[in-house]
Amino acid sequence: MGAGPHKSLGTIGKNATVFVSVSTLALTGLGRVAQAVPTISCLPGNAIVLGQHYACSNGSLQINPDGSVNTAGCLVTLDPPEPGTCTIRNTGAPATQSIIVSFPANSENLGFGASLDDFRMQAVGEPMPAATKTYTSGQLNGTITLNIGATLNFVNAQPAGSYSGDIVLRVVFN
Amino acid sequence: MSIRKSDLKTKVAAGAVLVALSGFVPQPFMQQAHADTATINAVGTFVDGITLAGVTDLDFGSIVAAASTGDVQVQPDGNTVVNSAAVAGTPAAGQFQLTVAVTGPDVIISLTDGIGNVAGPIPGTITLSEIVLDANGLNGGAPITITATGAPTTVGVAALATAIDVGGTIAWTAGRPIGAFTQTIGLSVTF
Repeated sequence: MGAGPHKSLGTIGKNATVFVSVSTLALTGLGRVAQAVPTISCLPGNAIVLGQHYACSNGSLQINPDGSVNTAGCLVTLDPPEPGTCTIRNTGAPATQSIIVSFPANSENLGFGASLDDFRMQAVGEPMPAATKTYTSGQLNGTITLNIGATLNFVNAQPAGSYSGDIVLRVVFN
Repeated sequence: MSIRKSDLKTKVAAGAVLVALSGFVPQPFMQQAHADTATINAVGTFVDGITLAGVTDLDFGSIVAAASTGDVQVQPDGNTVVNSAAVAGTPAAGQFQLTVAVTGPDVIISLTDGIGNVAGPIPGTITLSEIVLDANGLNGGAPITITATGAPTTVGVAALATAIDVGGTIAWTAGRPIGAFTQTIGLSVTF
């Protein structure tokens, strides 16, 4: 009788060990997936430079990611604009997954009639800018720099002063 | 013994269920989208492209009319041309100070006020008939004569800061009273 209960308890303990072991594997696997997502960062020193201007009519200034500009209306430019840059770092995501980079908002109000819209991104070597980019994980293996452009809309005799706005970029890994 | 065997099956079954659940745990997470966001700042400056300020008043001095009609012209350089009158005092040209943000585009000059009757004791007896603007680098250095309010003149401007000398002509008719006459000259400059 003394050996019976002891043997029975030993069996129960073995089952419990199996369960704990599997759970640990599950958590380990979960942690590995979370570490594989790509990240995006935009450093303050790489902001979009809108430039310095005098607006002599209503119009717009399109700042393309490749640095070229298109102006509509009367705008006297004293300091030229420059696109900004953001960086995506992708380490270890499965090659079959897609990575979508986009701008959650369509425009940004700068005040006093000025605004930003038509947000665009383009990596060096890409033929065209776009508001949304879809990459495979394999295409974005490591680090990629996206040049960021936008269109500055202004009104006639835009009041003098500094104008600033934020543009949010989102990277989604499916 | 049979009771113990039954207990063992129950515990093994319970363990199997737990294992199966554990196996499903990571799957929903692997199907979920993971996202990260970042914010990029955009900053720029707008400036006043043109500033214009009145610096010196245009002064016709003290005019002694020698006939019922006549006129006095003060040129932008300060010289005077007098018809049927004598001028005392110190006639002097006026001056605007113009600054532009850039010298490339032409500017459009027009009077917003000034041409016409001069305010005084008996309105309508004295008129300001023309305004003459003159400055190095403005309109190629050639004087700009304006005879109507609102009429635009497009000219080039060669310097970021330009002193515009202002001359003008006043004329009088019969019945002009003795007294002081004043008139505001408004100038508009735009790209």
